[in-house]
Amino acid sequence: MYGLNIPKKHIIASFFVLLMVVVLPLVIILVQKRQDIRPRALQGNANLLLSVDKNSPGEKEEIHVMATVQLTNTTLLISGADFTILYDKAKLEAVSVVPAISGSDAFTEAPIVTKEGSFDSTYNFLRVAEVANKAAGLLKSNSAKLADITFRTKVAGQAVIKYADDNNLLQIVGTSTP
Amino acid sequence: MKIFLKSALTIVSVILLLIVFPKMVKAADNYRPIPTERASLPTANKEIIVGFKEPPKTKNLISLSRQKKIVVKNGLSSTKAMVFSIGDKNINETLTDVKKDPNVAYAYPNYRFNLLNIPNDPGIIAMPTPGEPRLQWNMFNMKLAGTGKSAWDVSTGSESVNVAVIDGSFDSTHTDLTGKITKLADCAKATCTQVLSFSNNENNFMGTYHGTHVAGLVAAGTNNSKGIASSGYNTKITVIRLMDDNGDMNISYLINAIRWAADQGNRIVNVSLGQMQENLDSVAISELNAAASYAWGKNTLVVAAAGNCGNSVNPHLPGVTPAPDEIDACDQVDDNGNFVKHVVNPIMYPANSPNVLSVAALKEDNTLASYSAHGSWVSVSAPGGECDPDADLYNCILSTVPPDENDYQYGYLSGTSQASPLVSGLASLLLSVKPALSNSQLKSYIESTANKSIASGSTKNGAVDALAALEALNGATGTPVKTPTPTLSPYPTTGVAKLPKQPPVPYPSAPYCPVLGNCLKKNTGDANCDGLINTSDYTIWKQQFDKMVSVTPVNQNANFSCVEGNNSSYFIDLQDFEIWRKNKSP
Repeated sequence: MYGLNIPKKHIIASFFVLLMVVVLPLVIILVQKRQDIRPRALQGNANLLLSVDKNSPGEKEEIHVMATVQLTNTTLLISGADFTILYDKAKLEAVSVVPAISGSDAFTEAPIVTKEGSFDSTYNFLRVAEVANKAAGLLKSNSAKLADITFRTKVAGQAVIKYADDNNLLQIVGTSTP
Repeated sequence: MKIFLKSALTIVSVILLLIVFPKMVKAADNYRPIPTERASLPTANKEIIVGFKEPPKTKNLISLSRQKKIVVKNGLSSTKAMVFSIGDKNINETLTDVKKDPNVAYAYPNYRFNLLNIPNDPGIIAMPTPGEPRLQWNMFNMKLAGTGKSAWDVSTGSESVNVAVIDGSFDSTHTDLTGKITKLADCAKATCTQVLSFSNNENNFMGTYHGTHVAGLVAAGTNNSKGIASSGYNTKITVIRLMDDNGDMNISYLINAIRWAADQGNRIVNVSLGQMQENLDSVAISELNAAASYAWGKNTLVVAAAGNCGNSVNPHLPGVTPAPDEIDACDQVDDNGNFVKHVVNPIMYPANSPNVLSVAALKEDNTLASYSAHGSWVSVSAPGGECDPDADLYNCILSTVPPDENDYQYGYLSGTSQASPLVSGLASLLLSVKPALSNSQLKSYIESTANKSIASGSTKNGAVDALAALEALNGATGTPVKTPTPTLSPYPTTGVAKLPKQPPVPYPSAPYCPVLGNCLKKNTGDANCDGLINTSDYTIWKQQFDKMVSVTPVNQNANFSCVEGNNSSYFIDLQDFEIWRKNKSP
């Protein structure tokens, strides 16, 4: 019987391993409850930026504004963005909002594109919600264009274009590098 | 020896359990990928429904799964039946095999059904008289409606999409246009002005009849159990009157109207009227072209009737100058209105203006209507009808008309005037699916998906196929025309925002909801609870995006990140999309 004499503590350990193997699936089946044990993505911040093509446009002139997002963590991939931009309603008129959903853009579809909602007595708002219906390997990282927006100036004077101060009006979602 | 036997027995048991249990767990594992290949079965997918004599117990299900090598998916509510996936097995053999089980009462394929969005308007659902076409055969021919999958299954339009209808005049109080007209404008004078309603008068009765008919084809109330369905379904319209109190429609009115419609933000403008090239001088044509280009520059698509002068038969007697009241719309006249000659298949404006989507007319049998304009300058064709009012009226196009003395509110007309609004309605459906489409993309989707084999050679692109256009749009990951990107300076200016509350997260941080009924994959993106995570679920997500939804019915909500007991979590947002995207079938 040399070599087959299993120590008692090994038998006990085997018993517990067996118990785990038997009981856990049964508990899962019976309780019908699942715990997500997949690794979660890293969390991080995103900076939203606006850039314009003209600093001092003339009256009744069109200016182009590009909205972009920069992800602060290089392992993050963006799959959806929902943002609201406020603009001075007395000074500016939103001519067009073109979400970044064509060709090599980050997104494929924009379920919401509005351009002239009234926000308060000072601002109108435009809103874009866009999603990337793509596999994780095709999602953009680092930075991505969100939309091209064209405004036309109404009268002379300083005008404000900004993202909504309330972060509840912004949502960026994504996943981590596969 | 006793210890050895026990040890040996334990080890054997562990080995056996390690072999057997994964199979048992697998059988009950609802996260297991389900085969998505369905091509081999036209009427049923790779699933069967098995009814049991008694409510099935877990051990019976596991036993059946193991013996027949099928995988239980879910139950059917309030029945003793369960749905099983059969993988690559032959469905008939599997059914025969399963029926032999003593616990099984019956089994049949899990037949697939097509979406059948048939609106309840009598014009659509009324059964045709034998030998005659349906009342609204045009909607079926264009594949807006159908007994199989149709365009209205893909989109029923949106109230936020507005089509401007420029025409003679309108009965804005028509009951089937109630709630569908957002603005009314009178352009039958020096400038266009908004009005509250249009009154009818004798001088523009024909214009009112025509305009009301055209407006109904774009946007009559649909699925309202009343009258007819419209191609635009939920689309709304701005109606623009062009016929003045003398019964005239001048080119100046039309130029103003097109520009006004574009300035008002209408993405689609329907023009069911025109004038032939021979009756316009070059300055007039360039003015009309400029108006069309102006609208195009505003991202507006103008859809126009190609004209009804395609018939080669001259209605006038040879060698006889027709009397003034015999001169028709296909006759060339001089500046004083005197007859010059009859013209066959002339080029029409604004149909031939730059970037205008021109539309020819098809008969019920999908051949070109004898009167329809044709040639490579015409972009597409669509149903316009052709009938003898005394013999086969049903072959013309049914739509809304001002009520007559008998209160008949629907009537028949035919022409490219009727074909054009059907295409405008389709354009509005496309925009409802992708509001960000540019006018060139919109035009491109309609033209590139047209069926060249219908009335072959009569137009440049063929007969409009509404279903193909919408499916092409839905299936497209890119866009046919690239939107130009403005040159930008490299420096950021106003507005830098941080996102502390909603960083990119692939899963909700809150606990998942418990499994809802038999919808075992709800938390991973199965909005319709069919066991698959695919584009059908994405469609539901899109419809519910930015809305609060109820958890019931379970099989119609896209709330994948719900938190039980937290009402505020029933808001469909991008987190729900990300859960679907992450888990969707490749």
